Amino acid sequence: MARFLNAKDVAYDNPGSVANYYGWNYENILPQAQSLLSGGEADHKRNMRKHVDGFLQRNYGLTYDQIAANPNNNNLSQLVNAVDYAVREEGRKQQTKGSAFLDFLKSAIGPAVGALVLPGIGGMLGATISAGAGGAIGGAIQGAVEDGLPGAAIGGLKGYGIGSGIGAAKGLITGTPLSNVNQFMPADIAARAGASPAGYSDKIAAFMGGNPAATSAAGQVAGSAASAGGSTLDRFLRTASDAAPLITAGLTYLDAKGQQTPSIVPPARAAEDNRQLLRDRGVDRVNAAFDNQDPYYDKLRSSIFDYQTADLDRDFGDQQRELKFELARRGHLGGSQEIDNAGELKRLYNEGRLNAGTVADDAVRSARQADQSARAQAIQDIYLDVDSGQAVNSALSQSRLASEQAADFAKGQNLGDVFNKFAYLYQQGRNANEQQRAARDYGSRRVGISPASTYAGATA
Amino acid sequence: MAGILDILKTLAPIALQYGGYKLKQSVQEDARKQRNQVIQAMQGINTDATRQLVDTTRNTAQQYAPQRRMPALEDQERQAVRRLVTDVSVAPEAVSDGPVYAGKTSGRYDAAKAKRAADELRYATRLAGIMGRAAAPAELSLREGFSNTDAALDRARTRSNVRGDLDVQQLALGEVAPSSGRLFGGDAMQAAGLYLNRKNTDARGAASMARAWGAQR
Repeated sequence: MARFLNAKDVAYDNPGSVANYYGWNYENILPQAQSLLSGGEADHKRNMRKHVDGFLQRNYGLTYDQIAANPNNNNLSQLVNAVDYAVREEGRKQQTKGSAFLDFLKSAIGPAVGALVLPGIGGMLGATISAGAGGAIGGAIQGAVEDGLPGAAIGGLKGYGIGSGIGAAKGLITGTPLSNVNQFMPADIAARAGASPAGYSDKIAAFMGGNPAATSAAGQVAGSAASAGGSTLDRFLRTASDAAPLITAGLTYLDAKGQQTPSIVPPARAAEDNRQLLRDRGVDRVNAAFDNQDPYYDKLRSSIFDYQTADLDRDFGDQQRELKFELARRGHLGGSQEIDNAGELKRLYNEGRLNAGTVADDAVRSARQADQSARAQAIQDIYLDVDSGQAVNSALSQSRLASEQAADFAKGQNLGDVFNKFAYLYQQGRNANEQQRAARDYGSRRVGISPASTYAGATA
Repeated sequence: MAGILDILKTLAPIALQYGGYKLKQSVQEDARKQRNQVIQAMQGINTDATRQLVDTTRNTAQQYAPQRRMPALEDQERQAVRRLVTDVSVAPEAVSDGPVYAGKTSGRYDAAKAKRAADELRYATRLAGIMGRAAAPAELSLREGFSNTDAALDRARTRSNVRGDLDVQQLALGEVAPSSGRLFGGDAMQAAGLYLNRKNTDARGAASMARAWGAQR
């Protein structure tokens, strides 16, 4: 999709199409409207303002100034419709202006040329022919514009009109075919036009501004020419020939003027500013969604740490009891052995807590990494012109999933057998117990033999 | 006098045609200047963008400079150590006191037990410091990675802005055209020059014919 809407591409018969294209809504329309109504050429600004105010007045009884002075969601939504209408209206004018130009040619140029052709004839006939010639020329121009050569031929003027309508118009003025005007001039008119060559010859001589001494000679020359081809026609041809470059330039100017469309730059600038504004807002939304996550990370760490230390605390309690019984069995309670073993137990416990803290830190680090990845992806999506809301939601889902995975992974981590060292101590105690029990059992079965006796005989 | 008038009549068409030509040329020149201005604006946008990109990259690279990196690492160490020390120092009371068994115990026993508990706590704290320092580089790398990501996003933003701004300038460049009104003025002047020139020529021709006719008569 093109980034900017050209006036000639505006779907002017589709309300809302422009607003949809640029993503206007009540949140962003005010700066856009200000830019559109204050930028560009004076004509463009005036027309836009006229359309906006006209639409608002017709439909809501408001003006742009009233909305700008006291904006709210409701009237800003109405402003969206008004600006949408204004741009479409400008587009409509641009897309339908061709016929207006031709109308101008038919109404202004045709009768003007007709009047030029037959200035001296007067009366009903002259007026009729003048109108006919004007209409014919106008028709020829329109025919040439719309249909090319055949259209021009229908207008009664042959041999030009190939290419653009203006080319045809230029050919009309400067080319040779005007001599064919004779074809639709009644012969008697031509005769009457050439009836007084001397009069015209005087005027021509005066018109030419030549040497007074040559006036009569010029009159003869002009008179001859007039009697040969008709003085009115000659005068027309001469005048037309003299005026041809000027008329050509005028037509070129009118054509260039008519083809001028309102500058697309101000709306494009506004659209680009709007895009950057929306994009920055989208990025801000993403950053806000991921901002100030420390409480979450603290909670995540705390929960994983508690989860890991819950097992550790239970094991520690078990080990404490085991140690107590073992020391009691050995008769080492209250002695240095107890202090040593208790200290060792505490050291192992502290190491377990530190390991639990490390596991929790790793989990938090994973979660933060995932959050940052999601945030970056969301912002990148926005820079690629993806809708910011969609990008934020996608990033949050991704982040949530990653956090859950990090927490699950951390919970799956096992601190291992922290108090493994004490197993040997307990094993020693169990072995000693077993030996004593075996000795007792053996002595009780061999009556008369003291447990203290040996294979070497009684010692007592 | 007549000679001066003739000279003026001869020069006027030339002046008009030349003036028309110069007017049209100046229109074209103005359009060219306007185009150059737009192109210069586009170059300015590109230059600014390049400067921003370089600045962003330089600022990002600066975080790796030792004078900034070492304090950052130490800061991460402090935070990691503080967390781990807190983990061991807030252990349940039963743990910090060690196993408590019933019965009367001697003063030496109590003192030795307290000393051992303190030793263990000191050891745990030292161990937390070691583990914290070991974890700090990973934490710092993570933060540097975040910073790099932010820098990359900054660069993406700059490029995105440049792309849009250049698009607008491209449109402005496409709209630059010579003023049709002034072009018309130039054409009109040239047409007037042609007209006067032809008028002079016709007058001279008529005079010549008159002279010839007079001679014949």
